Amino acid sequence: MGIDTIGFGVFQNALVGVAEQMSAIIWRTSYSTVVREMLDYSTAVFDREGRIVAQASRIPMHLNSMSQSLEATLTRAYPVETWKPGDIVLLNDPYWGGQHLPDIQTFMPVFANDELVAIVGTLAHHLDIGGMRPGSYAGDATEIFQEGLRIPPIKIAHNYQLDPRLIDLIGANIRQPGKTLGDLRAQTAALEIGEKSILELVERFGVKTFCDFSDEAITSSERRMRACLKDIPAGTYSAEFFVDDDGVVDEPIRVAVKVTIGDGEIEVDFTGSDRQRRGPVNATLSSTEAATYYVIMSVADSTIPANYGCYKPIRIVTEKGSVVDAQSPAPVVGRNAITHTIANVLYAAFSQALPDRIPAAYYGMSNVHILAGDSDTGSSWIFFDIEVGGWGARPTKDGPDCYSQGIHNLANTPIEMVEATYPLRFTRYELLADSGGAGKYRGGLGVMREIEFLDQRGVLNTQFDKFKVAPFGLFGGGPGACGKLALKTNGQTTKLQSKTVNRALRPGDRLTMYTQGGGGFGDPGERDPELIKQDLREQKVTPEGLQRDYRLDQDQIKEYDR
Amino acid sequence: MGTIRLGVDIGGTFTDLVLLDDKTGQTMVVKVPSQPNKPADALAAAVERALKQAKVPAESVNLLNHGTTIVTNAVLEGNLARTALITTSGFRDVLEIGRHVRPDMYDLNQDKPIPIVPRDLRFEVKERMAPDGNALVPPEPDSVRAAVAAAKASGATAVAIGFLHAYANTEHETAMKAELIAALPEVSVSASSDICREIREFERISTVALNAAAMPVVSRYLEILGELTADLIPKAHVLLMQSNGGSMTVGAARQTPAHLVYSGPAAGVLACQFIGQLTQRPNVLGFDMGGTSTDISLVYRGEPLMTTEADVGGYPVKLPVLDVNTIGAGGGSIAWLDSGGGLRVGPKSAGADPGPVAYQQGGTEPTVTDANLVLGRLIPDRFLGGEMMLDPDAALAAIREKIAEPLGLDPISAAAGILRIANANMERALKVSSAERGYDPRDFSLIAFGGAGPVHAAALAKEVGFASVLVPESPGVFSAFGLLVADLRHDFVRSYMVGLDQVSTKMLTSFYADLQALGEQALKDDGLAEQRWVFQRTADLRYVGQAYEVNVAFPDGSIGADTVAEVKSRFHGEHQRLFAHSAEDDPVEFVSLRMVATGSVDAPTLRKQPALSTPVAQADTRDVYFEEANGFTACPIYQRQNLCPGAEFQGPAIIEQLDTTTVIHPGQTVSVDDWGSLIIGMEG
Repeated sequence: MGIDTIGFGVFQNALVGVAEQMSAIIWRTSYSTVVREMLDYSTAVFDREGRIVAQASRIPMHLNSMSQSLEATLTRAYPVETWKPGDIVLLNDPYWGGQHLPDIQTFMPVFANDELVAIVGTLAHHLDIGGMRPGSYAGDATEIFQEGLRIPPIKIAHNYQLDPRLIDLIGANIRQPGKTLGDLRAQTAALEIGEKSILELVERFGVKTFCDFSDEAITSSERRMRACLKDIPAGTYSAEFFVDDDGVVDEPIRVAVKVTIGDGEIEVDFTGSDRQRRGPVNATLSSTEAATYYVIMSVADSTIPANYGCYKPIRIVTEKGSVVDAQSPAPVVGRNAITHTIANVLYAAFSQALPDRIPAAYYGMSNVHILAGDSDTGSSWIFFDIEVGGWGARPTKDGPDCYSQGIHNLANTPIEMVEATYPLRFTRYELLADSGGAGKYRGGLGVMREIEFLDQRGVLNTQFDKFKVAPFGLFGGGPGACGKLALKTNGQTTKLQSKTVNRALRPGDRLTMYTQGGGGFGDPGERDPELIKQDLREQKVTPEGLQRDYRLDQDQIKEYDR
Repeated sequence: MGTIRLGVDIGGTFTDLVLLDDKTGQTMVVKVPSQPNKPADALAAAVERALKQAKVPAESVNLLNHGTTIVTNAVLEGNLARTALITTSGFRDVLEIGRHVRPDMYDLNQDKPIPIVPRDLRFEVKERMAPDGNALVPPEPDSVRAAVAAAKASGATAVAIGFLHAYANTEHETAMKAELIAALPEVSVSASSDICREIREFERISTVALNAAAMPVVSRYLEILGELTADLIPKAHVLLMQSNGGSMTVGAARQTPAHLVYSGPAAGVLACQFIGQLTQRPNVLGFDMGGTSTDISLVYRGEPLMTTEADVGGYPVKLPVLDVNTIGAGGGSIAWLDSGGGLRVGPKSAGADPGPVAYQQGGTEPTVTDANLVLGRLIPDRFLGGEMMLDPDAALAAIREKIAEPLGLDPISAAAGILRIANANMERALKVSSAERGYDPRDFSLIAFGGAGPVHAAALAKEVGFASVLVPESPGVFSAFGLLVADLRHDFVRSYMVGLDQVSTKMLTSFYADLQALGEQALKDDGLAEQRWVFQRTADLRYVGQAYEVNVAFPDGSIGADTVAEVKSRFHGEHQRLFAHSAEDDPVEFVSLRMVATGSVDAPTLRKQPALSTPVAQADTRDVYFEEANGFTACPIYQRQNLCPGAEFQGPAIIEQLDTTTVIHPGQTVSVDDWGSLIIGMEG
């Protein structure tokens, strides 16, 4: 094929380096904890046709998350030939290829002399983008208009100068404009670093070789992805799985998938998934794609440089207006209820092809909880956190207890930090015995977290799921335990909905959350007695749980429990 | 009084010793094989050999400082003591739940680190402290008794205590510790507020668990070490190198062995700092490339970068440590073709066993070392001073078969390709450690050491844009030099979360006084004279709402409103420098107050080497491959011991010595400075 293999190896390393360098700038210079602590941002380099050639992202939901927006921008707003050096295009509209409104994307062309050689892009989740609830997280939204400011592609900078009038327009529509606009400046700084680094590469390799190598980056990833897909037994594998409800209408939501693999290609067909919903759990196509790509990368070979070539052998089929391809004006901010379910349903399908490689279902939700209050000094506060549950058991070992899995990868907030900052006190944080699905290999345990509310008044909002639909086991393994939420007020305990909206909180109220366990793998009767003994010793299963889920009789349990 | 200092760096493969005679400024080095199961024996062997070679009496040794991997190895190999944890009721799982984040985004087979204390050895006590140090629930006596009894019955030889908010008020932990010591005199006990009085429960409890679990292991080692050194060098003070760049006494190491986790790499950083000072290079980047990994560290304006974000084997250790970035690339890194036919190097390594193909010890995969050999940069019969014969034909055959033929290249181009890819990987790592953290490589010199550092440094420095490269006289034992210059050091911290607008200067004064009292006591216990004591205050601050802190120097002297204003302005300035922005109007808060108590050790005066009238003695000439020369070119080969201060010449050149080879590229210049270091200048 006549390509300089060694030179290409150096180029590819350097190209990923460009995306990483842009990423380092955003991390280093952004204000918000969403970016700094949750790493909810990514950076990418596209070729001159807008195909992604390199990306730096630290959370799965960002895989290829900018490609659709760039394509929409180039075909429907600003064709390539209208771009000039120093232009920056900004957008956040999920219905222009995005995922949800808080994600602001920016793009900048890179010209070597007068020739367009690449486009660089950034995406960052911002603290607030306006709308009916602080943090733009409205669990009761029924239209995207309630979720915040919608920005289709606009040229926000000409000749490297941001347009102050447009900046004012955005600032006027959001809470905490100083911080959001500060992070926006971090994004534009990253674009400029990206441009500079690309031009250094062009200088090192020459325009022609640079473009040839960009093409080769895509071709080589495609070759590797096809080779991986060939290793998966050909066939059609179908599965379906459910979200509890959309938080507005209490009905389960079906996510159906038919995966067809053959000849180094794969089709993922979501036909049969439910129509888009009134509540904000809907996923746009970009969200569905990211979740799908994540699962395929984790099943195939995660060392393949993630770019357009990787995704080329993957065809995703959806019905427009379904929960996996929502159309305007469906609300979308809680899309993760669907995308976590997509991950699990795809694992269910892949497990049929690769029974010895794929784990059972994980906890399946980000379990967002937001407590807000007015402290006695009159200033208001908001505490936002997520909680995870157990992994699904693997074909050769147990699932980890209470560990991030699937389409997100986030840290919890230290209890001491929360208590030092907010009028809240934790009373318990512990693993939930018996919550892991039974099996030859046990699902990971969920966790119980209990928080006492100490302020004068406040509200609770949550985005949980899998309260009614349990994480499934595989090959005879039992399901993981469902999640639940309870609120104790004046000695009275009430069960709460998974998606609780604006529930009032009073001093002394106690919120208890129970997160989901992972599904088990294989027949519980085949579990190694040594593992049962260890679980008993560590109180990860109880004698009652063993009797119920592993069908052991009292004598056997006594024997194990010595 | 004796004048001999010894620095001994116990590594995985070799134990290196540097002897310094303070009277003459002369140094001498010794290298012996390590004994992983009996590390003290290798130390003793090195000391014996050094005394004999230097012909000095054992009584003249007054100081032995040593770097040890004992804690790191115990953690990585699962050889820690059986340990119990006593913690606040309702929170025994904090240690196991952790922070949720998985290190690999995709891997479906990864596992959480196994908790240092298993769930059935974690016991709860009914007690509760508030974040302001107010005791909400005093330790309930029955639950205390039950926990002590459970710890006793568990057979644990170490017990950690970690109560919520113990950083704010240590009373509950202290009382618990007293109960345990009284009831279990044979057991090692460590409380979280003793080792890490800092907010964030998981990290603090993880630190104390690791500390407690290491105590019995380290105590045993120190006993053996004590006996050996008492016999061998009876007059010597024995010290251990800590991760924070200071040394500690044997007594301190028994109580806080968690400070030893990065003992080895820390010595290398100190050596870089020292040679930087010696040669007026305040900004240096340490590049320590060995067989399987490379350590990169940074010294800026004479001060090494520190962090409190370290972990060992997946277990966080919330203690100040020198910031060393370790990447899995070295001379043994294997070259391979990925499924798309692309050439890749590492992260898999042939290590020392079987090693590169050229070692002829069973290695079949071509490595970076094999590529260097094929290109003439290493000389087959002079590797390790001729102790090991390398086989260039086997290396060439492996590169031909595994890399060149599948790619349709000739083996020489393939070998050159392996080096280009390997260097591209390391170039990235060097940029991440410098430019991406806001440090301009042009302001830095690269200090190359370790067996493979000097082979690659000159090429890398050119690509990344460093001002120059310094190759110290003995690159293979360079880290051990750091042990000769380490001061005694104790770090203390106390979390105090309060807004700058509400801070009480009285509280600040009292907290810093408490920290200083701890420091004074510690230095007194070390047996150090008062005139050598130095105290340095710093504080961690952040904008309210941020989840990360910035450490700034806290002014000396009495603390008033103007001090707080000064700290605030330093915080804005440091935030601006690190993150390119600051927000003067946003509220700022204190998170933690820190104190570094240092007992300074006299800096050694190294003797300058004599300049000779013929400083350069060329050995011979060989054909060596350089891309800049479009292939093999006649290249002078020098012997390092024949180069003296004042020597100056131009690349290309190969400089050989016992423990490494330095490669100089065409167009680069070399000179030898007064201390025998090679200084490589870039073109022009």
